[in-house]
Amino acid sequence: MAYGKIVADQIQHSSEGTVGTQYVVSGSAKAWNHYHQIGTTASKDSFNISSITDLEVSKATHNFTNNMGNANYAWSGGMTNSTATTPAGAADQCGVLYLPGSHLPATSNWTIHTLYVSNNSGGGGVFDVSIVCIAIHGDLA
Amino acid sequence: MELKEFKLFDRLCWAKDNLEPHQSDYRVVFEDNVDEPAKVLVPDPNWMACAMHGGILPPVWVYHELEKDEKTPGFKKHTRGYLLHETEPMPPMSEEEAIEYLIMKDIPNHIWRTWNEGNKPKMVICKKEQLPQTREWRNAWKIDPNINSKEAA
Repeated sequence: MAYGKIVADQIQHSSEGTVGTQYVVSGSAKAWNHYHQIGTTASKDSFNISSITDLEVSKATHNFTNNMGNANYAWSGGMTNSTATTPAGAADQCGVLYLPGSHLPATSNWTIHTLYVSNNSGGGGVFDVSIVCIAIHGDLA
Repeated sequence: MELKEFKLFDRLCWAKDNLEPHQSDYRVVFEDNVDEPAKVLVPDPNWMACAMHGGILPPVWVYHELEKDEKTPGFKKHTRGYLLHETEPMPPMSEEEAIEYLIMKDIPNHIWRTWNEGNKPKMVICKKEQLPQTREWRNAWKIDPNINSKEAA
């Protein structure tokens, strides 16, 4: 099996201009994960993730295969819920991804909480959801 | 060029395009603190495909070296990332060997080094069917204190 390699500093579109390959390299997500927390936590699809550690209700650590270069990377994500585990009275909830202070980002892993906030009651709390999607941007080791 | 001559991230890109994910039934349950619920390590299907294919993942000691670097006071960024990319990758692993590798990579070493010291095992490899099928009382999950260490192993 052959593995090709193209070395270039720029990528040029036929009519839309040119972009430096460093923009592409720096701007691409370095890890992502689409997983669920119903029953046994598991990934539906992912990239650059070696495992998930299910820590407790709503809290999971994502372990990277290729470490990040430093711990100052950016993260983003979202979640949705389509199961009966939705907390009572939280039909108007919005989901929030929260970085627990007890688990600061490391170059080898990243931990996240899924929470809900109720618009009506003002209350909220941790809960497991059926779909969580996260992405990590930053420099690789 | 051979696959192993590419950087790790490029090898992962190749694997994503060319390997079928392998959803393992194995789970690793471990306890780190008596006041916290048991934690469950779930192997990633794409990672498992890389482990079983061979020629992609670096030896696990590479991760331990990077972990040492990160724990050094004043650490700002990795300067030995080349270890991930340039160390001869692991040959193909069986599913069981891959789980052993993953334990050493993603579970704190004070747990897997002393998993069987104490009143009960701190770590158990099991099949997902052996875990509770719902997350009711998730924050009360514990390793059964009556489990015998031969079963746990």
